[in-house]
Amino acid sequence: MSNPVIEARNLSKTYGGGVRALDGVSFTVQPGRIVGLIGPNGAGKTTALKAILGLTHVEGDLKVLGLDPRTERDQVMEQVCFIADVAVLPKWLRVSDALSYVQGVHPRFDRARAEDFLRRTDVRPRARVRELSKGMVTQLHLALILAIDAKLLVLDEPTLGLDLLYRRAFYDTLLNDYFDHERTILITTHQVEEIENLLTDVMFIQHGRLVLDAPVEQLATRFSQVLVAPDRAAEARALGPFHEREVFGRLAMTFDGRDPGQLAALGEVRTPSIADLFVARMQEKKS
Amino acid sequence: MNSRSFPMLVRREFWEHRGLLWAPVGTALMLVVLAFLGRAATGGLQINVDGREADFLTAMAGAAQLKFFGVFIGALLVPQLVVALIVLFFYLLDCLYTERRDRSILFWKSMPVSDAATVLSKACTALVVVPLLVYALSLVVSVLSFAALALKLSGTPYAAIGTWHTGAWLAVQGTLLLNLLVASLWYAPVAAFLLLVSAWAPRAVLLWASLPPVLLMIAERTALGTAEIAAFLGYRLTAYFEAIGAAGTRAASPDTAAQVAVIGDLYNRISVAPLLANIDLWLGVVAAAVMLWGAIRLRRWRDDG
Repeated sequence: MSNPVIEARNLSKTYGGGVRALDGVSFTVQPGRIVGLIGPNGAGKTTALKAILGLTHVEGDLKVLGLDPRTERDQVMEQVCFIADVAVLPKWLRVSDALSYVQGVHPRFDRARAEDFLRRTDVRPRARVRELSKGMVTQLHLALILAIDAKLLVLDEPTLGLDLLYRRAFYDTLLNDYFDHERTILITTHQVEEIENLLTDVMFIQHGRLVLDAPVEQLATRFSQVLVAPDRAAEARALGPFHEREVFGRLAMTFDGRDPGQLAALGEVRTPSIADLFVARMQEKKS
Repeated sequence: MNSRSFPMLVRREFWEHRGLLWAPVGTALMLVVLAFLGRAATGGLQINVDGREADFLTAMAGAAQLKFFGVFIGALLVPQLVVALIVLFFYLLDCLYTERRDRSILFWKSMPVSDAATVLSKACTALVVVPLLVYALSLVVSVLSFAALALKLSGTPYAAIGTWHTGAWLAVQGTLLLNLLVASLWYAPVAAFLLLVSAWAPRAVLLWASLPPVLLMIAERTALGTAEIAAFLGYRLTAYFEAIGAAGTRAASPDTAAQVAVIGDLYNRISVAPLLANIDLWLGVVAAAVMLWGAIRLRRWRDDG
């Protein structure tokens, strides 16, 4: 197996006031994966990304492409790109100057590729960022990033505040024009539904801890959701669902590691979507 | 650091802070326009001179002419320098703060550009690039302004004042280049302090840059009854202009001999090279290096959430 893109062991971070943003998080990301880091607000997603990008101090062992982003950030950033969120391109920057700038500072940037992408949009080269709509700013940022031959792309809520058309186009472009099985993408988002079809791996994070870390293809064999009639609820509960909720008078119970054949006797069995699983996992701890 | 990218980092500064280019260019244009304006208005020189001014002009057209030429060329740099200092003051306070306020720092930090390269590109813009721009403009301004003066005086008894001296011009411009280098070294700790505040202040950078020195001065005055800090800061801010002779030089009396003496004195003091031998200049450079290091560390690790 090739070298992992990210190796994190026991990452911990405590902010002032004793808030534990990360509490012993360990994970490995292999090349060619599209990993979703999913969690509610304040769960530690952004802190984890900042640690990977060398933007914040963190305790524990951390290697990104074999380098420590805390001490070797400058080398890491030659191979890693990120989009923090849509608002970060400065208002005064001209589109053509943005291209010149990245061309000037990034040895792996292909200007023709970025221009080619922008020609398919309404973003004019002479426009300043302040004159562009939020969606167009994202297209510009995406054009800059897509034209960089990076090994790891980190996206933190990249489509926040965009309408559905731009969001859909953003992910389509990412998959069709960028991803090629040698690159690795790490995404955080609230909008689980929008990315669940493109992920190869999911990580759920809650209160600074990972509560799920699995390849998507394992989810179907590991998790099952059964719609159980109320009169069989006690029987189903004996099998240890980790979450249940009421749906149209029946109970949707989610199981981890139960044989679907065994569950079929209780009701209709289906594989939960990532969004369903997310809700189930997040509510499990509360109940 | 990727040295290939450094010129691009400096260009970026001029895109964001367009005043860095337009304020010096505007000042140069204004000086030239003002120099010609008198002629345009009168269509030929009508100098209204009383006896004392006539004496002065006669002296300048005579033995003191070369010194007058040198002082005229050198004095033109002062307004350009003052404007540049004001523009650079606001530039330095702003440049590491605005990127945090609008969060564009996350874009800049997504590029393979180290924090050291970023902070040094800003210091270099203020201490090297803008001074060189001012200098280049001063070459043009000096020639055009003196041409305007010569035009005004041609056909008058004082036409000799307008005599051009290429050798002296080259010598004075050479001295001015050295003066600008000394200015950069002398003001480097001020620039580094402003960058440090810009990298650190949570908001209201202007207040953070000015309030601590003022509070320290008041505290010192209250506790000890002295004004050492005020004297120290005043020295750092004005010693350069005192050395250049632009501050506080007035003729002791209004008579011609005293005024001619002032021109001679200014001419002799046009070089500030003696400041290079002042240990305070080099202590300031060391302090600047320490504060720049602090600004780089702050930009590297500051986490505004």
